[in-house]
Amino acid sequence: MIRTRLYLMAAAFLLTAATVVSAQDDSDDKRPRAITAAEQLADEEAKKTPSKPVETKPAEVKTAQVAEPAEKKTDYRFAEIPDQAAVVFKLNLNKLYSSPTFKAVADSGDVLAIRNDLMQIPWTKDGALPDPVILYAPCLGSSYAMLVGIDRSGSEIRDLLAAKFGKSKKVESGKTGLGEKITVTYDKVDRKTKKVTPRTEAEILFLTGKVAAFGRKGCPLDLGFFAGGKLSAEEFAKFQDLPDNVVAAGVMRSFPVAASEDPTGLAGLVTSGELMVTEYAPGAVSLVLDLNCKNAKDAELAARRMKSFLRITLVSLFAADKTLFQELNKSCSTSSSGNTAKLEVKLTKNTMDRVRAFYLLEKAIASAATDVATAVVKGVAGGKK
Amino acid sequence: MTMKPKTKKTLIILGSVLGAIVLLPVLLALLLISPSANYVYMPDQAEADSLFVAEIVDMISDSVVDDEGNIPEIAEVSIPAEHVRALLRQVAYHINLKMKEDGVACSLDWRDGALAAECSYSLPVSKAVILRGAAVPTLKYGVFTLKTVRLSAGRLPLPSSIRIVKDGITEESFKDEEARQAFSTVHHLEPADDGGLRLGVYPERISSLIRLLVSGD
Repeated sequence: MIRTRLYLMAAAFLLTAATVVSAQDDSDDKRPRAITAAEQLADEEAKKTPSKPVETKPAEVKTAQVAEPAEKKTDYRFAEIPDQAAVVFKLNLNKLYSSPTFKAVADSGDVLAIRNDLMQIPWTKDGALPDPVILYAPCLGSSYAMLVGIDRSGSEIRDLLAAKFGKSKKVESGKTGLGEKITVTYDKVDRKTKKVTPRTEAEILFLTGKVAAFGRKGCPLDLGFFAGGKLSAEEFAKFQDLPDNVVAAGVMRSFPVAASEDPTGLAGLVTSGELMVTEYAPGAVSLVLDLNCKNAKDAELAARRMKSFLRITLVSLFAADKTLFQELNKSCSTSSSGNTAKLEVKLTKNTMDRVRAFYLLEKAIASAATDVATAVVKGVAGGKK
Repeated sequence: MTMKPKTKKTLIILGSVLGAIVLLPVLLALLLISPSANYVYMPDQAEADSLFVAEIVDMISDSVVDDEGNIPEIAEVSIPAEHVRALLRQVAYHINLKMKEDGVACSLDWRDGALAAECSYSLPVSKAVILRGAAVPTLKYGVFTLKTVRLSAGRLPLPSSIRIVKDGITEESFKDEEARQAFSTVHHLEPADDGGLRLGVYPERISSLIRLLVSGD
């Protein structure tokens, strides 16, 4: 389950690359209040500081991000990221959902589940959704957690949750060695035996006044996860000072799955890695993934494995539109230099508009097929009567 | 006191029949029951196999896009025997993880262009019934055939002229969703002349294969 989720998240990164924000897009869809509030804030700031497109060559993207950190919009501090995490990445959720371009894709993937789970909890006073920092322990340990920035106290959140759920769910708080913890549970009744089993809906652990760890349905928090030390100062800084044009960023301390569980064939080759997805120009996106290996030979092999996995992923997603597939295939390149294997994806606004149109069309076809199937089933059922 | 010859003969026949009734199951049990098999998947082997499986992904990746960047209707892949063996060892490992609680374990291999399987059904007191067999799989025109070439239960040989035919990749023929998805990706499959496996896959349906690879917990 965790492994699936991990790969889906990796796929989500690639999709992110294909669907970043188009600032000119108008949206007339009814979005939840939390997102709308975040957009309003973003819009206000955008009016104050008009965005300048950063035009850089692919190799210069990272340098440009370090040299020109954009103005920060929050002062959240993710100071408690533990050493146990094999993979840590920040998802700029509000940026991903600030345009219908990304929404079309994000709503069909794992990002939607993260967003829906986060929306259950009143994290901030202005109703904005926090951008989560997601931690994965080595996959065989089957553990992961989300860290989110908060500006409410634990008791405030507990009271709001208790009022929201009423009698349908139990909201309890308690002290742990790491801080206050809120648990939301509900009773699951077996339809046949009528047996009642308590189930955990959400767990929130308040690590500091500004950071909470969040475990959700089916994935409760593993407190052992947080028993270790903190992220190194350099790694911590990466998540603290991400420029606004970063859509997602991640560091990997070790490959999170065992070799026998890894269809990409990267597990035995990679020792650490970094990922950065940025909007390098309005509506255009760049993805850079650096994987550090034990030696140059492994790096060469890792580049080959990335190429294979990426190609199969692109075929499986875009085979129905062969021109678009070719365009995307040409936009991706893998290479190795020394002990590092690199994947670079650079998509223009035009390509991303086509990706968006493709997704909307696929979605429409799927929806139409469901409608037809429902109509047929209803017709058959009606005929039987 | 002497017994009449007729009575003696009847007793001998009766004794033989009773003896056979008692002995046959014992004999059958001796033939069928073996010590429990333990199919251990060593970490070194698992690591080596993962490299072979990754190479299979490379082969598929090379076949789904031609030199001009076009996607062919059917992608032809020829997998060497060594790679098929590695893949089957991984498949067996996952099956064994899933079936452990049911006392079922298996090992899979690929020999002389045939799938060789050994399945162990655990019995109490460290004993098991072990089925061994070899079969040639083919998939052509939507018909999947598994033709057995060797079959035995324990030390008891069984008739090996069994053919399992699945006509079409439908819900009725493949109850298992994952198996159905995997087969729906394949256009044809047959043993290759070099002892490996030749298969043709539909590039457009390859997402099912990816889904299967990433969710094989």
